[in-house]
Amino acid sequence: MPNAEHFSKFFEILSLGLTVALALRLFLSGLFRSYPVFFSYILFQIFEATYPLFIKSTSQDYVHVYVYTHWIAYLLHILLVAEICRLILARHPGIYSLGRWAIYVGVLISLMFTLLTLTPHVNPRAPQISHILPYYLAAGRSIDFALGIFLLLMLAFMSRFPFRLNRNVVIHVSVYTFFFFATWLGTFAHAWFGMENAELFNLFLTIAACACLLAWLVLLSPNGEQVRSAFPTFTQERETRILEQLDALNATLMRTGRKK
Amino acid sequence: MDLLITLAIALALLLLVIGGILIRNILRTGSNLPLSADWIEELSIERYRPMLRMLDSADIEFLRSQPGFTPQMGAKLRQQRAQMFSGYLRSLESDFARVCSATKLVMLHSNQDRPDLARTLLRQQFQFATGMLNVRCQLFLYRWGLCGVEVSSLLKLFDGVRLELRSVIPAMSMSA
Repeated sequence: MPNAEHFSKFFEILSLGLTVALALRLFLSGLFRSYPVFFSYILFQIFEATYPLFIKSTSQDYVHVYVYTHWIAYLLHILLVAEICRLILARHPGIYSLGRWAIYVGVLISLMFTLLTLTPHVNPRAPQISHILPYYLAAGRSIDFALGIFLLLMLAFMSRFPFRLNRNVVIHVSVYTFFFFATWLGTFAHAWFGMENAELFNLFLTIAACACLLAWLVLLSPNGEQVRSAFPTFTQERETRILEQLDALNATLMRTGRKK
Repeated sequence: MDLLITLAIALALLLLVIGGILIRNILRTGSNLPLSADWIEELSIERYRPMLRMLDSADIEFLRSQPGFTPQMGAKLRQQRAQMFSGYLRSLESDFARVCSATKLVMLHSNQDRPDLARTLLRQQFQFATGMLNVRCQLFLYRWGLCGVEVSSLLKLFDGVRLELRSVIPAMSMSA
């Protein structure tokens, strides 16, 4: 009769298999050149998916390996989001400044949200396996939460423009958003419940990771880099006239608002 | 289950739903670019001409001078006129949004960074939003007979905008 430990092992092995398959797919399709940070992250994930197979997740050895290496994952998370922003803005140089302003505002707002979530001190109900681990997990879930909020704000910014994003970028943004919030939720619950249900929350995180890996493996393709576009051509004169129209509409509206 | 964990799960699900909606909006926006020659032809001052007299107090003054006029009649007339005027304002908002879309397309299509357009666009959108808010507040007060709304200059300027825009946007169709 399968138990939780068997499920956990199954998904850990599945996670490793999917990670290796995705790394091979990215390499063989040439997509690793378009997404070098993402490829680096997948390679690191091969390592992170391997050691849980040999070390029990409730042991001190596991905690040591996790604390000493997982900061690389946090750094790669930040670089992943930066890579996506760079790819989007690189295709649209005309909105580079506007995109940069949106990024500054997005970083500020996501940091504010992160500070708000950090302010109430979470006292774990159950004994913790390590004194440093709660702080480590708090930093990690703050980073993941902030990155998730930042991605949502970038999506809100992009929804205001008639963007023609390629399919791979849309897939990345979608999967990253799910990944960051799922990881945040899993590590939040892990920190709250401590050792008591560590296996359960590790299983949740592994399943979430498998879902993301499967989505990337199935949906990413070299054809997804193509973008169909049919933009009109605008001369300087036409652009000036469009701006004058905006001025005229606003002036009209302001005059309408004046009392007689 | 603990309240805190429940709230965390609810928050995560809510944020994911918001993300899904935004992604859907992005995918839809990209496939429905707003500019075409047909849109320019549809942009006409004639549909806004009734606004010139719609909120004119002369009509109510004339009715007030007639025998049998009651204040309730005046209030009802103002309410009806305000509703119609609101419809025209919505149309104006829609046309402004189209012009903003044209500006955004200029920026997206540009091979150079356009911080000037970005500043102008943000300023115009802010001014329009505040201006529209002002007009809607005055319209609300008009319903209660507390103030009027001046619209003649609005239509003169919009006519100029329409004629200018017809000469700007090229006669081409947008692929979906």
